[in-house]
Amino acid sequence: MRALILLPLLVSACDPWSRWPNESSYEVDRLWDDDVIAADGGLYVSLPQAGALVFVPSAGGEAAEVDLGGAEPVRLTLAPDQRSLLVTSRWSVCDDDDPDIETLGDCPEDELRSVYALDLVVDGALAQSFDIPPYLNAFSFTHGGTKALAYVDAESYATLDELEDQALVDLNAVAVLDLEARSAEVVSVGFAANNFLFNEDDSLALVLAQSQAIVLDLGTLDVNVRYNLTLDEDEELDARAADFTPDGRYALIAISGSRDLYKLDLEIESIDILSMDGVPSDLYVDSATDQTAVVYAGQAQVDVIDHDASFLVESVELETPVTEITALETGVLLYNDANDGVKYLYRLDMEDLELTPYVVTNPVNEVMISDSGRYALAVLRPTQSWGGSSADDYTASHYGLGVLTLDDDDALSVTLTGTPVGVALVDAADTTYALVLVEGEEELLMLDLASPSMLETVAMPAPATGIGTMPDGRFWITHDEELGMVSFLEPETRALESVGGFAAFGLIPDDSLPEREEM
Amino acid sequence: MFATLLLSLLSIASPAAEAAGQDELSFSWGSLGAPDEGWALFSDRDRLDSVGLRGGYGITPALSAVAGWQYAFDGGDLWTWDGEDDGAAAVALTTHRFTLGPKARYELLPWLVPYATVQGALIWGRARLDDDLSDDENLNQLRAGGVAPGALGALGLDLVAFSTDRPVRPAFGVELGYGWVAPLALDPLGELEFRGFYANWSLGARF
Repeated sequence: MRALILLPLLVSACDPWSRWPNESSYEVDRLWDDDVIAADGGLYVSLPQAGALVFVPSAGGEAAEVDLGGAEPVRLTLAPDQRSLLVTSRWSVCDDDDPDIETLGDCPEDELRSVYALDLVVDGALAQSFDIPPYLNAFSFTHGGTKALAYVDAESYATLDELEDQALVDLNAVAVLDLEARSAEVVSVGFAANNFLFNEDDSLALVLAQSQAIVLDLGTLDVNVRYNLTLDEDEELDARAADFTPDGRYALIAISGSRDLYKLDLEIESIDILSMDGVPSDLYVDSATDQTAVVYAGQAQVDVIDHDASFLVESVELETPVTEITALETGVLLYNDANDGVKYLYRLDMEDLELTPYVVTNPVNEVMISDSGRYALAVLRPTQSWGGSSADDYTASHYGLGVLTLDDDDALSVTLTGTPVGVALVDAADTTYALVLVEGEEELLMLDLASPSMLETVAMPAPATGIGTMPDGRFWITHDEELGMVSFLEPETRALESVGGFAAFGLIPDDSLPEREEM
Repeated sequence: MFATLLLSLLSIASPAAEAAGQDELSFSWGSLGAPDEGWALFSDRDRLDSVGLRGGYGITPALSAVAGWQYAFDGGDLWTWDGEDDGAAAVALTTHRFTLGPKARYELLPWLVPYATVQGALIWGRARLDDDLSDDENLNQLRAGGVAPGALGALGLDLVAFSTDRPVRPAFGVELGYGWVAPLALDPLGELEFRGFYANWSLGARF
């Protein structure tokens, strides 16, 4: 009989890992958002199902939940210091005072409402909360990164729940956040302001609102000047691109659909309109030469405006139109990411306006420049589904990479057999590597850009969904794993460290009312 | 486990029960309410069903100490959907419930013995998750365990076969009542609460 009494002890010890019950089926939305935020020291990962935020340290150690007092993260934005994370947090409060109400389910539906705060999380811990309108969902940081303007992202009016949750919405408002003093103030500047420029010492912000440009003093928060860009206040002018001249005196603003380039003089408070040859699609102010480059989607030319010479415009002809400008160490790289027929990229020396064309096999999706400035990598997209038998057909039906050597005119295209889900560049001692993740593959491709045909692979624990750079120079990789998995890659040694399981944090639903107080 | 140990000690240290037929050993099965929303992760039912063993030691003709152990193994598939693709992970929860307490009975007839019992309980639970069962080296083989105290009270009825002079008599018992267990913390997954209607059936021997 005593042997029988020992039976529970035996069964307690016996629980083989391989046995799994099959009696329940539980359905939830995806547990984690693989659109992670790479901060100094680790990754912030949002868990939408659990309504939680997790910090995964890159130096080893366990992932930990960031305590937001029961609130769920709605939106994450990393400040330029790479340590401060702005989190729009939301939680529920019950307006019924009944002391028996302990859970969300206990609260009558019409007494339940959502409240918001903007939280500042530093090094994985809540440091400060700001009470600003929750619909200010986008942030523009000053050059120094210590201040930010919060505004409504123009793309979000139709989808932003926070706009519907409020009794009153002021679309003239922006919030000025001081991340050092940890303060926030809401100021009314202009209707639907959504584009901001800062002068070199971050004392002024040029706020581009609908039909207006406003100069806001970031110290006093007073509006210094208000420029009407059109006589009709209802006319909406959408700034396509804008920048200050290096001396901070002029602001140049390109308007979508307009050939006019607005030149705002901040000293004499006047507006000049430069009539360009086409509708500008991008502009770039080059501080070194005090010039501005302007490109057009419909015009095969780049115009260079000399700020010192009364804004004289000089045109450089191209083989094809370009839509984008990317800064290089000296000069700019021009390319077109909108037209399937364009396979040219150009390097323009801003000193002597010498043009170097590069030809790749497929149209360009995106372009990256190595930190060394020696290489540019263009991710190329297919233009047709597979159907032919020639080398051209094969190339045109696959993604590819275009490797541009920027100190000469070499360009080499290689073909990827899969769909790239992430590409990153890393400089090694004497070369640059491109790290390429291909959809569904458990290997990371490493291409030496000095000889792109030589392929090296790094084995991964699971197929990847994204890649990016950590502030310390390592790479993060997200994996297609339900319970969460990220890896940190040391490019020099190829050492890969993986952390998993963090998406299971808070997997068991918690119905209790958050204890966090309304601000 | 504590209860089992205590029962073993009782059987060693105590003199033979004065009242023959007051000791018991049974196979038992039953259920405890599981109203927690999170329980749906492991089971489609709203209760924790379990099986186990139960032993009793007669202290007086009307009072015995009973100890029990109940085991449950629940779980299934966790499906996730991100709007485009779905994925799955296996989930399981193993629970061991140990109980110990007095059982007061009144022999209405030699074969019909109603009783009342109040027992302290201790639940040990261990959850497991795995999002790739085909890979033994999968990093995401997760475990989370916790212990929670509780209590249960019930009224029951034992049906005992054969005459009282037999040394061993087969018996069937049923008891119904209420059980409560403090939140079982399965960090970092969250907490589970078991409480509500409690039922237990037993089939075994009285001696």
